[in-house]
Amino acid sequence: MNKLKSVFKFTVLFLLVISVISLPVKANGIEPRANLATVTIFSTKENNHSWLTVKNTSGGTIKVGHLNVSNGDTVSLGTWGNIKQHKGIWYNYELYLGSSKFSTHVSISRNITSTTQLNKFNTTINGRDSWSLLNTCSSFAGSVWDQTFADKVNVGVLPSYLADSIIKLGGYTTNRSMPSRNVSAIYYHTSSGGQQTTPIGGGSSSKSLTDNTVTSFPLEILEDINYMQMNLGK
Amino acid sequence: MINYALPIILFILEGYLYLKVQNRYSLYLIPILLVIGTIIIATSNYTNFANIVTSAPITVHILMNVWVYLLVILASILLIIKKT
Repeated sequence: MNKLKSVFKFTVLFLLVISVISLPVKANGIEPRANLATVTIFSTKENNHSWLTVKNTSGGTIKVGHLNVSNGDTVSLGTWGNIKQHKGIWYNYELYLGSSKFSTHVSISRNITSTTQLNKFNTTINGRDSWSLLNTCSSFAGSVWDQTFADKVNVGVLPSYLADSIIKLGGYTTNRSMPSRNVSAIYYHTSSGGQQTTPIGGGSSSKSLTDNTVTSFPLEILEDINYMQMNLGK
Repeated sequence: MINYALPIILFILEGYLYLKVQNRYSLYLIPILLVIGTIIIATSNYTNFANIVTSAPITVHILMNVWVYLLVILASILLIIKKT
C-alpha cells in the first residue's frame, strides 16, 4: 500500500513538473516565440530614401525605438533631413506615404529572435536620431540593420548603394507593399525616452493634409501648398 | 552624362582657348555657358523633385547633380585670372 502511495506521489509530482516546464513563460507580457519581430530594410534604387519597417510578431507589446508597438502592428522608421519640425527619426511617415509613392525600391526581411537582439536594435536606433550629409537615411537604415543581423549591408550615404547591397544579399523583393497608416500615427523621435509628439494631424491648424499629394518637401510646405490651393479655389 | 561629360568637354575647350586664342575675352564664354547649364539643371531638378519623395533637402540633390559644373566654373575663373 505504501509502495503504491509513493508511486502515485511520484507520478503526480512528475506530471506537475512536466506541466510547469511546458507552460509558456510570460515575461513583460511576451510569450517566448521563435520571432519577436520581423524587420524589413527598404532602399530606393535612385538616391531618394532608405527606411526600415518592424512588424511585431511577439504576441505582446514591444518597444521599437521609443514607440510602443502592439502585437501584429507594423511601424516604419526612417531619418528625414527635409522636415522642419525634426531632422532625424520619424515613425510611420513611410507607411503614411505608402509604398507606391517612392521610386523603385528593393527590400529584404529578417527576424529578431531574442530580447538581446531587440535591445541591440533599439539601442542603435536611439543612438542615431539625426540627419546630416554624412549620416543620411541610408546610413541610419544600414547601421541599424548591420548592428542587428548577421547579413551585413554596405552602410553608405547614398540609398542607391544600399539598394545594390540589398540586391547582392539575395532574396530581395522589388516594390514591396506596406500597410497604410493615417497622419495621426506619425511621430518623431525625441531624446527623452517614451515621449513622442504629433506635430501634424493633431494640431489646431485649419490647414489640412491630403493623402494623395506627393512631395519632396514634406508636411509644412505641403500644408502651405494645400492652403494656397484652397485660396485659389475660392 | 550631361552632369559630368558636358562640363568636362567645356573645360577642355576653355583650355584650348587659353592656349591658342589670344583674346582673353573669349575665355569668358565658357564659364557663362557653364553657369547657364547649372541654372538649367538646378531648375529642372527643383521641378522634378517636387514629384519625388525623398528624405534629403532639395539643395543636396541639386548639389549632387551640379558639383562638376561648380568645380569647372571655379577652374575656368582661375584660368581667366591667370590669363589677365
